[in-house]
Amino acid sequence: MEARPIPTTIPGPAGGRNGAAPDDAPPQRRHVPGEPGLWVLLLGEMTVFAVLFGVFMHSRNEQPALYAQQQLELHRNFGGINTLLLLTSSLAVVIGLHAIRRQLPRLARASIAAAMLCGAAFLANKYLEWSSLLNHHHNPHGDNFFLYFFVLTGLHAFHVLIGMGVLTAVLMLARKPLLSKTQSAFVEGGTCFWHMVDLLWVVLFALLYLVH
Amino acid sequence: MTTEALPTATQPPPAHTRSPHGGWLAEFRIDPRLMRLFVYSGLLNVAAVGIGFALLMHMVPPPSPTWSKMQTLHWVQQHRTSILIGALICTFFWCFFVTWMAPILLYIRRMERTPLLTTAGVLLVAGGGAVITMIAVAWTIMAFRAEDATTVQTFLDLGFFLFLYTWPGFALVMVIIAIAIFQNVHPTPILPRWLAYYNLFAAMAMAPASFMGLFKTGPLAYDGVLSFWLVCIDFFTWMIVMTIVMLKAIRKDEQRLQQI
Repeated sequence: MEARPIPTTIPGPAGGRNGAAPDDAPPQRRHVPGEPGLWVLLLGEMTVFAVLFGVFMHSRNEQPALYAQQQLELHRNFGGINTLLLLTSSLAVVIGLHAIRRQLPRLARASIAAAMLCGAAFLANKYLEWSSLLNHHHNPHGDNFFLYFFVLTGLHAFHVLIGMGVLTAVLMLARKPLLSKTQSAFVEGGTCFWHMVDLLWVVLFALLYLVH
Repeated sequence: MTTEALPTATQPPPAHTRSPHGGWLAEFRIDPRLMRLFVYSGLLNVAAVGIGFALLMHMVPPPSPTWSKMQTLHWVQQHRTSILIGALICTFFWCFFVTWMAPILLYIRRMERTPLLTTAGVLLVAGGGAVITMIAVAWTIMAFRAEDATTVQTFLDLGFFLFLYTWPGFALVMVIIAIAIFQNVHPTPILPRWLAYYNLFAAMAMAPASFMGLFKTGPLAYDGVLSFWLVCIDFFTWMIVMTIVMLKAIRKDEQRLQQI
C-alpha cells in the first residue's frame, strides 16, 4: 500500500516528484505512520498484552482439562461477530484515511463514522455476552478460565472505549479541508491505535474461543 | 534622508524563537548542579525499593492475600526486626519522590503559558508524597504490633492498598506531563514528544491495580501479575526513564546558559 502523506497546510520538503532534486540529495526518509513517538505507546501496549497472553497460556497448561471444558461454555457466535465487526471497522478506517489523503471529506466522515458504529456494536455485543455468562453463573470469581476471560476481554473493551474517543477526534478533523502537520500525524496515529485494538482482539479471539 | 533603522547587535531575536514568557521564566537560569541533585534523589527512592522493600521487608514476591491471620502473624514475627528496618529506610527515602518531581514540574511550567498543568501537578505531587510516606508507616505498625493477628493482617493489607491502589494520582501526573509536551508553547522543544506517548502508556499500564479489592487470588490480587508486578515494573521503570531524560534536558539547558 502506498504511504501517501495527508495534505497539510505546511509545505513539505523541497524537491520531490516535481522539484529538480540534485543527484547528491539525501535519500527520502521512510514515512512513519503517525509520528515515531506514538510507537512507544503502541508497542508498549502490545508488549503488555503479549505478557498477559503468555500468563494465560501458562495458566492454561496447568489446568488443560478445565480450560477445554470451560471454553465450551463460551458462545463462539459472540466472538465471531465481534471479530467481523472489528475487521470491518479496520477496513472502514483504512478507507477513511485514504479519503482524507485524497481530500474527499464526505467519504472520510462516512467511513470513520461507520468504524465507530462497528466499535459501538462490538461493545453492545460484549455487554450481551457478559450478561449471558453472568446469568449462567460464570463470573471472574468462579475459576481461572473465566477469571482470565473477564480480565482480558475487560481490558480490551477498555481499549475499545479509548479507541472510540480517538476516532471521535479523527472524525472531527476529517471535516477540515487541510490539516496541520500535527493534526495529520494525529489522524494517522489514531487509525494506527484502532488497528492495534483490532489486532489484539484477533489474538484474543483465537486464544479464548478457538485454541484447544 | 532615509528612515530605515540601522541594524544593531541588540536587536530582539526573531519572533519564532522568542520565549512566550517574561521575567525569570524567559531567562530560566537554572542551577544545573542543584537540579541534578534533585533528579538523582529519585534514584534513592528506587534504591529503597530494592534494599528496604524487597531485601529487608521480604515483600518481593509479596505475601499472599489468601494467607490466614495466623499465617500472616507468623510470617511477620519471623521477619519482625528486618521489616522494621526496611520500613524505616522506605519511609525516609520514598519522600524523595517530591524532590525528584520538582525539576519536572519546573519544566512543565516552562512548557505552558498559564500555570494550570503546573498547579495540578504540584497538588498531585504533594498529595502523592503524603501517600508514599504513609505506605511504610502502615507496615511499621504491622511489625510493631506483631502479637495481634487481626491488626497485623489489617495493616499488611493497608500497606499494599496504599502502595498500589493509590495509582490514579500518579497516573494523572504522567498524563499532565504528556499534555504539557503536546501543548508545549516554548519555541524549542524542552522534552521529546515520544516521552509524552511513553507517559500515556505508563499511566494506562497501572490501571489494573484498581481491581485489587475484588480479588484475593489471580493476576489482579495484590500479589498478582497485573496488580503488583506490572504496576511496580511500570512505575519504577518510568522513574528511571524520566531521570535519564531530565538529566539530558538539564545538560541542554546548561549548554544554553554557557552560550549567554
